[in-house]
Amino acid sequence: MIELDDIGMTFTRSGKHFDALDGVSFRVEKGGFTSIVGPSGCGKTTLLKVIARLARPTRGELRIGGRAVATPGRDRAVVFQNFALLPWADVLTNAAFGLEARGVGRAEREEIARRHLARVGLTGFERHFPHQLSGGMQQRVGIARALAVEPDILLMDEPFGSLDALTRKVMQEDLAALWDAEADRTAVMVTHSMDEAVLLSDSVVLMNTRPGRVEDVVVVPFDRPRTAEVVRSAEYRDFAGYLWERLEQMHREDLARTVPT
Amino acid sequence: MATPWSEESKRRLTAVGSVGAGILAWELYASRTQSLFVPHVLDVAAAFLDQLGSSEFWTAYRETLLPFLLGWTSAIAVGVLVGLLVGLSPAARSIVAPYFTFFNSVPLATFLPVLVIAFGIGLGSRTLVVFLFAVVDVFFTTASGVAYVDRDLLVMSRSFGLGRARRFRRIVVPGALPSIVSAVRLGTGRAVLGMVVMELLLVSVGVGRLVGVYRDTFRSPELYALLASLAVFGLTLLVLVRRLERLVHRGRPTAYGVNS
Repeated sequence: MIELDDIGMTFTRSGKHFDALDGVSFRVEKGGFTSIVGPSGCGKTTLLKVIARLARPTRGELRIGGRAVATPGRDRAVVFQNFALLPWADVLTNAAFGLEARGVGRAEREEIARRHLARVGLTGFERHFPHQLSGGMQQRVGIARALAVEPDILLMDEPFGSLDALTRKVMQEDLAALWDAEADRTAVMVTHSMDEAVLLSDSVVLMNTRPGRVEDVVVVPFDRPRTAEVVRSAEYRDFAGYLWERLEQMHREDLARTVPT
Repeated sequence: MATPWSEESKRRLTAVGSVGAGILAWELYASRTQSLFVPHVLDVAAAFLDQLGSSEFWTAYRETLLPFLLGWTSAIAVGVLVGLLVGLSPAARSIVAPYFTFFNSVPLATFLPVLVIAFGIGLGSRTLVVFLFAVVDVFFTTASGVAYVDRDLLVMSRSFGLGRARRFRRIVVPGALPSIVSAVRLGTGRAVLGMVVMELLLVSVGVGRLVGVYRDTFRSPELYALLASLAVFGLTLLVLVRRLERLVHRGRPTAYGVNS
């Protein structure tokens, strides 16, 4: 279980203070898939970095499994929006990079990486370089790299944010299928797409801006796997529509608060 | 007429033709003016072959190239290492940057008289001049390459728990490699410049002394042949550096597609 307890983060830029996050508290159950959604500027990516401990909060405490956490750890792996693949290394080396960082020997890590590349549908591309792949395939490498270290917690920062709509849809469905095969792995995903959040998550954390804060935590009341039938149902569409409206409303309120200077 | 020329051989032929036309123009000018300082092409070619067989020529080159090689290689080694270090550690930057900034902002030629007075004209002093000419550019180019290593890759490697030392080896060095190669190319040009400036303007040794001798005794075919040999030397260095560049860039994406 991930517990965020009154997390706050203040940046100071040329003498001015700016609250990226303030009083953020929620918990993510073990084995759950949680999405963090909010208008741009609400600090959702910063929050994910705090959970990964790639950023240090100025206030509050992060606990994982009941223990305070202050560094990146073996229990977590991150999928990055811009993929963050080594451009000079082939797909296999990239997929094995997390294992390499953790000191796994070459033969073993490449065998594990091959298995995870197969899971994301990239068998046969092991010796390709990232720039030879489409964006969607590059992110598949990013996902394979994260899954290969068998993390307890998978953290995803707008993983499909830079992909075209069709690729995005296919990736969402594939991730959902991958996920249903994972028993007790916990996932936290940042997204600005409410459809994506509803499709993949057990609960959605709605965030608002200025300061970045949690507005609401909504449980998604639909069983997995979320088949086409479920997604087409009136209940599902009403639910997603309701959340979209709340998000849109927050965005408009934020716009209204913006005073031109 | 029907010979199928490939684009490549057409380009080559054009280049060869251009050089041939240049030589022809030179020869026409030389035979019309009969100037002492514009020798006939064949005289220069003969002088060139003569020189290749003379010990004077090779002794001069040995005198010139030894400090060049020492200064050039040490400048690249020191410039790259310090550049990497400074790109990584703000503390190291604060310590080293003032010196490099100083040498970067003052034309080095102004120091040459001082260096000669202080250290003489021996091998060490000449090596130092070549070194100083080259090291500044190597340093700055390398350091900026390290500073612009993809931050996302650094964050990614940290997220997987890659330690500092291995982050340096796996992310920083390969990320800065294109800049390091640029640093080597710039440094090579600067080292040649240092060598020439020193020998022609200041210390009359090696090839520079020979240039002076030929000039002052009006042996223009020999003078031209010697300059041609310098061009061959420069060209060789250029080709070596190009090879290195191509080796490093192989398989990397560029703005124009992929290097092969």
